[in-house]
Amino acid sequence: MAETAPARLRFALDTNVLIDLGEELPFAQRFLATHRNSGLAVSPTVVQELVHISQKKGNRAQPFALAALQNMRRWNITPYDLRAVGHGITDVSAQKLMRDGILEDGECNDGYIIIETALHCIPILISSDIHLLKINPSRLVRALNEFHLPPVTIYHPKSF
Amino acid sequence: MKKRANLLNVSIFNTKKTVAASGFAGYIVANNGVKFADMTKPIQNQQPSSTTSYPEKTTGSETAARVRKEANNWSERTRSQLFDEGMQIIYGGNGSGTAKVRS
Repeated sequence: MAETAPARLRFALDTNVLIDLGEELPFAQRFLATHRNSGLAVSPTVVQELVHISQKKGNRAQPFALAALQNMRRWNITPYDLRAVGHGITDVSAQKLMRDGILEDGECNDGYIIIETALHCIPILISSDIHLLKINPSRLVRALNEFHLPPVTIYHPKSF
Repeated sequence: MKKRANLLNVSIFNTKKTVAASGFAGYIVANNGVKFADMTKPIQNQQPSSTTSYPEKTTGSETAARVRKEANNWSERTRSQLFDEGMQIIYGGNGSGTAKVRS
């Protein structure tokens, strides 16, 4: 019987973590075993990236991305979408993060993932993306505060 | 008094076998054969297990970084299509119940 997802989502997972789970790497499975009932979620941009990877024939990560999508519910990970207005907010806020120099120019998907996480009131984003991990946490919290969004902290999965 | 003198006359072993067994850098064996952990030596750092510690680079991190570079230029329409397809794979439905992405 499938477990019900906890009411409060606490961790948003990035694409890289989900591919590691799809590859059934032991350290990723250990992470899942520890936190699967803690409220794991996946933002719309991460779903899009996983689908794109799963459609790329010949890519080494292709079967892992597909496995991640197919097993997401079994792993108790909740994908979510935003209302149309939320996507508009995401776009504008991500552009501002880049203009303010918090994110590198052109890294709008990183910005989307952060804002989507904040809009869904998820406090922690777990990622091994170098661009996300090198963001100054206090500058990010200040920027999110300017958008009237709750803070998001980004951690590498090895921190858990 | 004689016993105490015997205890002080010790020899120190520091072999891989003893380190693995005791966790200490070595142990002291008194003349009467009693073993004491050599607390004067630092405990050797054990290598973290490669199966449990999360590495910096994985297939996932490398692929996601590469794909994200392309994904930064996706149109609204592409994003919407990919999200709908993703929801179909995850939930096995036709995706008609999902909201439009960035519409």
